[in-house]
Amino acid sequence: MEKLLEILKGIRPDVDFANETALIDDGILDSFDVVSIISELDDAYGVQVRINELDPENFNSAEAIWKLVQELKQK
Amino acid sequence: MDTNKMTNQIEGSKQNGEVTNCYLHPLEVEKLLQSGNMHRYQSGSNIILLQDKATCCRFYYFINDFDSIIELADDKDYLCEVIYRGEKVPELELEYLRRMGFENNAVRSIYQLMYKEATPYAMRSGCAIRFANSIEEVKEACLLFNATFDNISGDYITSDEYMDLLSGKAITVAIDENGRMAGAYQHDCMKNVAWGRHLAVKGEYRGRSVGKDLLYDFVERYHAQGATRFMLWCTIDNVAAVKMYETTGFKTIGRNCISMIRKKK
Repeated sequence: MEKLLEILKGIRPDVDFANETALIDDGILDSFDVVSIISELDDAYGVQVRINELDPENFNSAEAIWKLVQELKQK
Repeated sequence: MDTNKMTNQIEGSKQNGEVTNCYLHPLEVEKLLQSGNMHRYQSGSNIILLQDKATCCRFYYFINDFDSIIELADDKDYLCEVIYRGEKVPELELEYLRRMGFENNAVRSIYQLMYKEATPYAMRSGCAIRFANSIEEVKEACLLFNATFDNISGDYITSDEYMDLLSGKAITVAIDENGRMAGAYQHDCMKNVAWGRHLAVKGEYRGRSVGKDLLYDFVERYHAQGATRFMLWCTIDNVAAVKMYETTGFKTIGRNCISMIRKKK
């Protein structure tokens, strides 16, 4: 999780990923950020996010992203 | 056209290290393709999407093969925006676009203000700042925007948009003591993030803090509605605008965009 927070901070240093829980719902992250996150997740964890996994809820918080990574790693 | 196939192609190729400037959601792309406002072309493993806009054709690319150039019709102006983070200028993509006939137009950066970091300010231009309250005022503001910003890369506003801008309270105007419009600001709020779109001040009113009054009014108005984050794109060589935003408390977030234009021949 620490590594994920570092990755996310590298993408948007201005966002408090440890505490925000509505990153998409509040419009804090946009599609460019999401694509950047997906690319970084692939590089760091070897997981690919497909269109049907682009559910906003999967990107609303660092915890949700971490959960998505764990699920994808088990596939 | 099989748009599902298109989505799968895009998604599939993205996972193979393809480069793209298309950050639209695939479902939005499908909707645009189905509406006929976007067209898809393919050359080898490269795909381009062309979206019809009021003054140009917006160009999106998915490049797998940098040696394969897609020919474009010469009867249109094309706008291509290449987004990148930090200092990582995507030279390979820019070079590819230059080979297609595109030329550098402007570099923009996103500036962001967190409300708690806004510099205290007192209105000082002497203008009244309020929403545009008639179609005539919206039209005057939009003509000012269109005259101030580059019509290809600056999001040209057509008369079809006036009514929505009026009813959506998307334009505030600065009115001087004689009832004349000194400047105007177009803005909106997406979820809890307020976005500044076009800010323009008439030439004879420049240097009188009209722009800054409009900017602070924008911040306060949306903050009263719950926004805490304020964002805008600004051309980085517009020194006066950059200074105004920075002294207000706006900071860059490392998101940049190079707009490239290919003029019709």
